Amino acid sequence: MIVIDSEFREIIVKRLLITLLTVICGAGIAHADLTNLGAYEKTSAVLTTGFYWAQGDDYSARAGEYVSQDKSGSGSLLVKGGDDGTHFIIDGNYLNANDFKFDAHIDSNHALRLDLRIERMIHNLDHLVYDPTDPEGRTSPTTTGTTGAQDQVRYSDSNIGDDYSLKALTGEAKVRVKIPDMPAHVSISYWQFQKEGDEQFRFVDEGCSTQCHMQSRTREFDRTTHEIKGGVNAHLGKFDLNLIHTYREFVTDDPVPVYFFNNHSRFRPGAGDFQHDADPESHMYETTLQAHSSLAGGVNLAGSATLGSRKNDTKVTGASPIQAEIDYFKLAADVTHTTSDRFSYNFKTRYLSLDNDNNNQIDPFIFDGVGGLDPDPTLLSVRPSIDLDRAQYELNSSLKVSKKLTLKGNLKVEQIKRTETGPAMPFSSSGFTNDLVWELPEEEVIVTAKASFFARPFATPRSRFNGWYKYKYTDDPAYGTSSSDSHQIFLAATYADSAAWGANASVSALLEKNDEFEHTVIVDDTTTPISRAQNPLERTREQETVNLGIWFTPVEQFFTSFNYGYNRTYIEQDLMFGMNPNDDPLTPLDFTAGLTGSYIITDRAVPYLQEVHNFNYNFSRQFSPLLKAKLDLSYTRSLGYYDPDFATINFDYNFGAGNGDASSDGLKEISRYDIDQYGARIGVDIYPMENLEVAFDYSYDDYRDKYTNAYDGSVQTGMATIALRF
Amino acid sequence: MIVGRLDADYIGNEACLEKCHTYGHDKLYKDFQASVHASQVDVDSGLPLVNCESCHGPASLAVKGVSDNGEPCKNETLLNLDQLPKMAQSLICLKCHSAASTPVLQFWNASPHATSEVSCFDCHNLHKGPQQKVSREEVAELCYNCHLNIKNEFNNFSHHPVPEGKVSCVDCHNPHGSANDKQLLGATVKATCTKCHMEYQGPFVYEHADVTENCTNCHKAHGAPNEPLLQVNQPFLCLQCHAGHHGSNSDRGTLSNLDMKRAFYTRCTDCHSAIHGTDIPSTHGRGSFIAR
Repeated sequence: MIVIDSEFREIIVKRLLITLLTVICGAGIAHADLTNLGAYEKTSAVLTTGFYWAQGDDYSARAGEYVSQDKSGSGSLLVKGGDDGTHFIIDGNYLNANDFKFDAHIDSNHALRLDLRIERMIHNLDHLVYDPTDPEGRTSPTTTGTTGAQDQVRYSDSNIGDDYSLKALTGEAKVRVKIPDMPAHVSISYWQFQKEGDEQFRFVDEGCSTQCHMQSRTREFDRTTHEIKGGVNAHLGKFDLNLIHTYREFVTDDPVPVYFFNNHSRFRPGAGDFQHDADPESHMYETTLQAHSSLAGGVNLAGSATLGSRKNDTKVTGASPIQAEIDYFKLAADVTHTTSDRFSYNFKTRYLSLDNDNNNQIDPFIFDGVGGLDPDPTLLSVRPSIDLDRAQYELNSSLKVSKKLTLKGNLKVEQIKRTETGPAMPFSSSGFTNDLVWELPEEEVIVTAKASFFARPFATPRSRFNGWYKYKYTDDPAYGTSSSDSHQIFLAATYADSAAWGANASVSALLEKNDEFEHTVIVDDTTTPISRAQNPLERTREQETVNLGIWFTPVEQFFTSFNYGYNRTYIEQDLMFGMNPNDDPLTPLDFTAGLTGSYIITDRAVPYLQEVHNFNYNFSRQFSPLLKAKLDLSYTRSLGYYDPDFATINFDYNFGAGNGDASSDGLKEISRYDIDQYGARIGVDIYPMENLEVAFDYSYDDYRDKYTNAYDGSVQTGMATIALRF
Repeated sequence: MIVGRLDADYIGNEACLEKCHTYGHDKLYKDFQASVHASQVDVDSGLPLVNCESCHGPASLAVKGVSDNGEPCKNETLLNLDQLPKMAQSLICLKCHSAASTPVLQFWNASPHATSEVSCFDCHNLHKGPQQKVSREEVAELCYNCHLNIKNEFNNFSHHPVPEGKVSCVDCHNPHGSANDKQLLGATVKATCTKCHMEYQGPFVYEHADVTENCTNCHKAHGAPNEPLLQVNQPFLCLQCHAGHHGSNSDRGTLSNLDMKRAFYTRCTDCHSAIHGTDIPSTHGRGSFIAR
């Protein structure tokens, strides 16, 4: 009888497995869990091979937004090694041609550090339903006026059924070299980010006095950013210096879109091929100088200055000239004084200057050689872009009341200055009167005060409570979304028993209002000065978040956790539907809902509600040295809608040629959403012997919207892998 | 006191390990030896020496009486790093990093983390492995320990692929501090976002004013229930600043029937397709309707 001892049996099994791995290696590699390679006694590696499978059902772009649905062999390689101050890591993971990652890191005695990375991912994009023959599509609205029945808006999808996705490829190389015998380094890096794929291109041919043609087409794109960065940093005794220079360039390999636009009676006398919706190429130079004093001293100083310029390098030839450039300058300075082990304070200042230049006239070429307009506006004047200056001053203080309690105070003042601002200018349908200025505040001051606490009542570093209250005031809010007064509170608690369980929770609430925003209506542009009226529009916003998490380790090798997140946003805002006033300047404008002859409807306190609930449960258990299982379940519910409600009003349209009732009926229903997303992941890891793992993983994701089936769908993935450690 | 017991003496790495070899220090030592800190142990490097006692304090009292037969190390005589105040924990590292060039710490002292009871130890584990910091893919889980609300934002329907491991927190933020609010990496909010979303960076002849200043006027950076990462859904997003269409020159206006409402009061960007800015004048109005 032949007796095979256990050691020899292990060798045989290992050789058989290596043979098996070699045979199926062509099938690919997938990720394994043998990533903890332990001490660097010698170079060690984990090689994984396997198969990845994915399947999407119905409309799967939303259920699996970042899921690659290409079945493939896959694999991974993890190699670590090093000794005596040198170490390296090579980490590669290949799922398929659209999803892979490779990292290499080498550090040689701190004298040379090299990092290489290449990574590709896929982002599945939406194809919104435009096809008017589809039940979920859009029907062309038909109206009847004195000219007879006509379609005012026409939809077409030139590429029904096309799937859209973006593939992003990142490549990066970083080298850092320590200058011998000096605490100084030289760094050089190159970063490249390429986005290519195809997307749904939606735009309008706005022949709207007869018909607007809403288009959906497939657009291929190939966009790349290249960035080169070089720098030198050094510790020079009392100060450290760091100098960085960056050059970044954005290029596109896809042509500027061109479309045959129909003529428009007022604004485009001749039909023809015109460029539109271009992504301009650009380049940027930036230099930053940083300096700071000792990080461990009682007084620490830190400052930086950045000078940069970004320029538009568009390939558009359908209008000329096209000149746009931003020069920017940024200063930052911090002073931190630690007066004792109990009290410290810091003062921070930031200054940003953005100088925007653009051409002040442009020829769109659409009027060349075409008569009928008097005068023929072959040149359009262009509103100059805003120059922005922003200065921030911030004072922070921290007082350690006791070992268990720290209090903080913060005061911040921000001053914003804009150029090219002024009152709203009239819009003329028959000509091209330019907006000369931007209707934004020339100066804006924002003051923020914040009080915080940090407490460790249980005298254990794993447990703590913290919270803060913040008040913000703005004297002249710039936008309809800005606030004049804002109150915000945040509370969080973290508790962790040494090994058995832990929990964390946070709640926050925000209440803000803006009663300083006004919409300007031009009442009469023939008078001097121009007659304007201000429509005050108020806004309040509430936001609440609740986050809860709890975890247990009831027995060794058994971990389970539950997380819940809730986010609610509720806004009430005065909205305007229309902005053309009464043609009779003698009729006083009343900004209550609807005035005969005035095409402005103001709906006060229109509510908007948005809520998200998120639940997540996961479980991981090592049942035996041979078997481990894991489970992850998630559910997210998201809903949102706005609900305008103004009284139905009858209007004459088209200079009396038409008539109709304007109502808010249906506005809520056509833009609301109520989405359920489900996710489940199951995994089983089997360890038949030391240094060998067999794993099976399965995932399922589902997306459903209660109000439309157009984007409902699911995606499943599966993976089977074998991993071997050397 | 962050230098350790004054009545203890420094004994050197070999003495620490010789005494405690059987208690797993061997693995810690070998990991450390492969790290960048280990090169500091070489006297020839000319840099401040870093060894076990640089952080843990002089160990002569800890190893006194320890033998290979199993008597444990007297850890209570070493620096109790866990119990030190957070600022003191950071000083363990900064006392040496002040004498070396570490540009990533440029704005550390006044940073939100440093002033909010966060120390180097909360994120860096010098004994985890020779990298002594988490990988780009692992950063998010580390940040979620305190920023649980951000983790839940990533669970929204439209989100940056951080949970998928494709984007990392450190792609946008410098956790050690920066010259910008929220510890962002770029010179401005827009500069941070448009490093990757470069088709929106411009600069354009026709700008959309609030885009020039701040992408977060319309977008949420982490996740939102509105594609693509919008603060609120269209058309309400746009109606917050702009009046909606009434269509006084059309036959029955835009608010007279559901189909016209669907065209003008669902997705404004279906017509205003160049919403981030454009170089081509729109046909309507003043050329500035960013619809081409």
